[in-house]
Amino acid sequence: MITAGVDIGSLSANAVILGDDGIMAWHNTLTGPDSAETSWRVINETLDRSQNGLKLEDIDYIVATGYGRIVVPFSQATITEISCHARGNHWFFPEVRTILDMGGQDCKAIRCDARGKVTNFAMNDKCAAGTGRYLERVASTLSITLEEFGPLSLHTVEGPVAISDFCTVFAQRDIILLMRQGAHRNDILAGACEAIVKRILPLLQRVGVEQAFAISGGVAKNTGVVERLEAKLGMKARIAFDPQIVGALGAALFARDRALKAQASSAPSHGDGGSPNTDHAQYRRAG
Amino acid sequence: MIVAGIDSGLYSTKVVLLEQGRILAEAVVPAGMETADRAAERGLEVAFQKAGSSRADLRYTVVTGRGKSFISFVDEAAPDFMCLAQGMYRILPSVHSALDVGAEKSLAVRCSRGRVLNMASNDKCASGTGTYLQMVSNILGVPLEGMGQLSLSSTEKVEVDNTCAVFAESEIISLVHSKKKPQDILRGVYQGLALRLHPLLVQVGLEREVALVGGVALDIGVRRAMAQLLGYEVLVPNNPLTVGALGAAMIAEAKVERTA
Repeated sequence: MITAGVDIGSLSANAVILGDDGIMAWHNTLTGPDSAETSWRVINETLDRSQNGLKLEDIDYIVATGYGRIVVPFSQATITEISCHARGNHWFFPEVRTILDMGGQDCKAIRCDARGKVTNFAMNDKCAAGTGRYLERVASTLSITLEEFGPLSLHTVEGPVAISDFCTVFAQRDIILLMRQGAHRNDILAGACEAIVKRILPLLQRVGVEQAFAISGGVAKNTGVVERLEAKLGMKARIAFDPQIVGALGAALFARDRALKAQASSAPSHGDGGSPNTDHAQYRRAG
Repeated sequence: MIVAGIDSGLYSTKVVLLEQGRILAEAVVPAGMETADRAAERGLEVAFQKAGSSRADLRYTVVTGRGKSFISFVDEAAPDFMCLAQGMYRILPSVHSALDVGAEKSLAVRCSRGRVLNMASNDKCASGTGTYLQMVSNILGVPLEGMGQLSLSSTEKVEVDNTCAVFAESEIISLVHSKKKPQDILRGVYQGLALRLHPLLVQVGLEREVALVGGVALDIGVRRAMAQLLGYEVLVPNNPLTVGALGAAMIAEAKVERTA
């Protein structure tokens, strides 16, 4: 059986194709202005990366997640990214009970049980400070790439300098003023990492941090944030080989559950959630 | 004898000169890429030029505002809420609630005869300050000075719900993409800003008459949104920008009189 998960985030779009032996292909790309168009692009590029020339109609079931999940034209179901990140992280690290998912425009602390099911979560989606957007703005203010952010922030000259942890806009102002006063770029980057960690901790404390702990989402690629958070928590974080695909993987796992269930009860009267054949026809039409 | 009050802000430096209790001159100079010190120096220069008086007659200078600790040549620094209460006493003595909305700080005071009875402020979140309007102006490409007027021609209700200036930016971009008109988006922006400013007034104890001062008070869009929220017009002095500087000058004057 082959299933897929598509995660349309505010900044990145990710897809995972899952087969009986595990992940068959994965890909992440930037979200464009049109989420539906983005979802076609990410699934097609992921199919292109599959070893055996998979086509969309070879996939038995597709679940969409993320902020843009409702506009994915070829998905049979949508599931919230909170459930998907818990499920995906649990697949990589079955021992994980606390998850931090830091995306482009929100941040979620999630608790899950031994089966990867969400038991509690806390979320900030009201304020850009404490989300990936904050780091993005800091990076653009200092004209560096997000890839450079973590490594540079770990090589401070005089140690971290304080910038606003409360407001992204005021942090940008602080950075401009600090640069004018001759502060070193790396010290400002380190200050930004500390600021974001300060915003993450209360969210994690709200759900409770328990061994083991995983981070997913784009921010997990920022070593400056990860190392400082690990130091504060006094524990190492589990991070998947590509932390941005964890939500899409979770979606693909849910897709697998549903496909198996549909197979078991394979009655044509199952309605729109059911018959794989109808769905295949739908893919061809939409594609 | 002349005393001076300087209000050193992010976008402009305001100066008021007082002579024997009389306002001799007011000056507002935009802050460029210069130090707070130099901007204040320039503001004083402009004010003295306007007054036609000599700097040699300047007896005492009080500074307030965000740049107050960076200005070396003044005699004293005073907190902004004290200066606001003092300035209010002079220009609108019967009004006991004042809301000062500047580029990066919003400050509400309840005051009586120049005394501060209560105060509340926000300088932590950009979405409740003038910086937010500056951002909106940049996104929509409408000059800050014309935004308020444009919002008055709104015909369709559009909500800009995000409480974060950064997220509101994305929200406004999607509203533009979905063909919403700038005037309707702007009205939504002003209503959102008013909703975030109102709690400050409630916190200090809202009275029937409210004065709106600071650079944002020049914006008719904010004035209208506040009035709609309160159910009555807000009062805006002739020069809402210089109320804090005036208060600082009054503190300077009182100091000189006490020591005389």
